[in-house]
Amino acid sequence: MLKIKNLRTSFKIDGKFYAAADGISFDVGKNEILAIVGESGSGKSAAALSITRLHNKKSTRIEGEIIFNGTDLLSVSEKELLKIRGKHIGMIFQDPLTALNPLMRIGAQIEEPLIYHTNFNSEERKSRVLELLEAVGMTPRAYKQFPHELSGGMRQRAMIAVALSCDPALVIADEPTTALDVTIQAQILELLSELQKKMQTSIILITHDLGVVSEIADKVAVMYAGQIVETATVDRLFTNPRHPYTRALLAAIPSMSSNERRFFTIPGAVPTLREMPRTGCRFSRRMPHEARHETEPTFHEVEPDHQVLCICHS
Amino acid sequence: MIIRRILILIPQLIIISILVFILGAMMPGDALSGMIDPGVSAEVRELQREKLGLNDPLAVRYVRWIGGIVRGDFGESFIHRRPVLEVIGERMANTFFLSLAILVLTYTIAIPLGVLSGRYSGTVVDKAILFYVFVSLAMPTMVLGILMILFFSFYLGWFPSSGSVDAIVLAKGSAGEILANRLHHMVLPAATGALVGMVGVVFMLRANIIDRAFSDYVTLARSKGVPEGAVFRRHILRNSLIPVAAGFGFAISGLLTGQLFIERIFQYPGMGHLFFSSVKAQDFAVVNAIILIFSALTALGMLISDILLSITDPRIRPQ
Repeated sequence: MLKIKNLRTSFKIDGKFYAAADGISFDVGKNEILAIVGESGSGKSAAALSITRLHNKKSTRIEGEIIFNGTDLLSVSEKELLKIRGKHIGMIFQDPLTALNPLMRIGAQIEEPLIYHTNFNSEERKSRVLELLEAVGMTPRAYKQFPHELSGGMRQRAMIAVALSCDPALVIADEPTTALDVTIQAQILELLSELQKKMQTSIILITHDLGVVSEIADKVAVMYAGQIVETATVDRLFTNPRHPYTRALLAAIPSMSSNERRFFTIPGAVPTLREMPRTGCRFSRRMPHEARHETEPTFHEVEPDHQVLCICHS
Repeated sequence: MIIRRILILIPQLIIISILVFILGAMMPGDALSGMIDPGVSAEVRELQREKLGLNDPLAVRYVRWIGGIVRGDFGESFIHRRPVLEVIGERMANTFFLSLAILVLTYTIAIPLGVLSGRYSGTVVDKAILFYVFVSLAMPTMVLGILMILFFSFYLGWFPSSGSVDAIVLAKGSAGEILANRLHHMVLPAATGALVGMVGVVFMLRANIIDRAFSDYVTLARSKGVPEGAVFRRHILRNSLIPVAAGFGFAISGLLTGQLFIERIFQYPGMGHLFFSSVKAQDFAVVNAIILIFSALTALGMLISDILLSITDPRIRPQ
């Protein structure tokens, strides 16, 4: 349904372009949940926003191919794109407080996509909005409320209602639970996966939380420094992680049973866009041990549906 | 909420009045230094001071002064030999209409310019507007005012350079002629005031628009498939106008406090002009009254700002 080939998203810094997503490829099947995981700065959000070209055109360059149901989203006109955004592809953002317009009532914000993508009259739109509010577990009272009158969890539910309003084929959720309390996170995840099953939607879930991934995703792509370093089904990734970065991420999940006094952390940080190495194995600098690397890393199949970049895993 | 804000005004005004009075009393000289013949002997002068109550303790004089104000009596102007309120009253109308003209001009020019330059930032249009804004920022009001007089009054002779109305027209003209004459006098000061005043509004609006153009809620609106024009109107512009609305409250209080420099440059008989000449003549009754009125109006302007904000922004609307 969605096929991304060699996507390169570059941002302009002081007149020069630097790739934040540097040649990534993946695909999402119908009714499938793909999780993209990685630290902050790994380029996962940059890649996700590129799908519907939501970056500032003046300072962003997007190359590659994004084939959505047979059309290349990178070559369609702005006008064509407007018919896809919101109708076939919905978006959910990280912070529901800043992502909802503070001056508009919740009802009006959920209604907005319906104005542009349906022939509903205002009454039909209103009843659809009320239906959506119920579907995401909100009271009809929210229709007339402003974002600041709601709790964080309720705001995020409202944003899910916005994304699902036109029954899209694909929802891109960019860190949908990061800004929420842990207890609310669980509720939102449950809601997302429940609605996904009911509405037969595909989801691209951007997150840095592997716990979230294990709970609802079907497939995982691990990103580091602008590249995908490992892809696999969720089961395979968790039982047989291969890339040193994936292993390090998994090791960094705090465990309830362990007696260790300190959490495991990966030394160093993701290099900034300017400092990012553009050749060789990009993670090698943060690996504590010596390993063999490829000078031009390529993907290797470890098992069916499980690929890993570079040979440093072996 | 509004009632609470109005109640807060009362202690504010009392503190302001004390400060104003002390500052006035601290200034060197008093009204007598201008009123009495320099040849008059020190004893007579002292007698006069005693008679006017100028030798009483500060607190006594303050209570007398504030007591009068509460009853609507601001005292008597030593220079004009008339009640302060009368002197101020005449100027107030002049200032009010001039400031109103400036206010209307400022916002009708500034909002479209701010929107243009914010929405099309980086283009030639934006650069031209910015160029003007920076030139205007760097140029003091008095320089612009003098340039306006030089070109439009001295060289071209299109508009009068001073005053609010011609004496002959006022004496013999019909009501329509008087109005036309007043408006004619108002053009240069009003244009100067607006050209200077709009700079801040343009700049603020432009910055707000650019700032919000890629904020999260605007990106969300785009992700819904909303066309760019509607994104701009519904999401970017409305949010960008909120700080402008807040500034408008202060501008309203400026209606009466006037434009000190502009009235001075154009010899326009308003509050600002009166203030300058009263300071120079050490006419403290008038100076104190004007400062008190200015301060009260500024406090009122803040209140109006808050009310305007609560209308435009649901987040601070009283529940």
